[in-house]
Amino acid sequence: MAIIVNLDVMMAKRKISSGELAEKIGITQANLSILKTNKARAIRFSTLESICRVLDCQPGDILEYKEEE
Amino acid sequence: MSASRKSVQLTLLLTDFIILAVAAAAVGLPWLTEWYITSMKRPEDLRTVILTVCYACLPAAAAALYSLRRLLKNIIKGETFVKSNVRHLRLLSWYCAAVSLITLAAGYFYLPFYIIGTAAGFFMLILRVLKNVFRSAIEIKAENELTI
Repeated sequence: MAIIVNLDVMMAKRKISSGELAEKIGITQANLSILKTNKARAIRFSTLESICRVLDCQPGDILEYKEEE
Repeated sequence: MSASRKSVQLTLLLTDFIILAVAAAAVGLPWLTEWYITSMKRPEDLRTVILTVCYACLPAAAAALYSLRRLLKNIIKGETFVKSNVRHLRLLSWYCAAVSLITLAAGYFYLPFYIIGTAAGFFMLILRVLKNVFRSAIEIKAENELTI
């Protein structure tokens, strides 16, 4: 997929674990794993908003567009 | 037990009953044909036509009932929108198409077969639409499951 989720990088910067982030944004660890491994087909604005609020970042810090080869 | 689950189990029970009825009819078809021809005063040469058509349709009917049973079993297990159900619906539509073709061809010899042929063709069409609906539902379900 052309959209890459760079959640790992941001989580490392904020020194937050998957379990803690999942709990704070109100999703399951399994769903967070789907996001982190770029298996998700879509992300809700509400989820993105929660992630940005918890990680204190902008959507652009998490999502990146890369042209497909 | 929920009403929808009860309904599916009732359908499964009816399917099993029809399987038994088809098996019994397959064994007793020569006698049934004989009874029909004598009691309804039909021409004697119709016996061969009816027997040939019914026995030609029998494998398709048996396979269709088997697919229907598998489909219902999947629904009972809670696996409704899965690829195997689309396959079962597709197979069911092909079995209906086979019966439709056989009976429409046999209509040349005995007119009432045209009614069965048309009905089977209509069922084939409904099943194909249903198959396409299931395929779309599977795609929507996958999309929904992967939306976080």
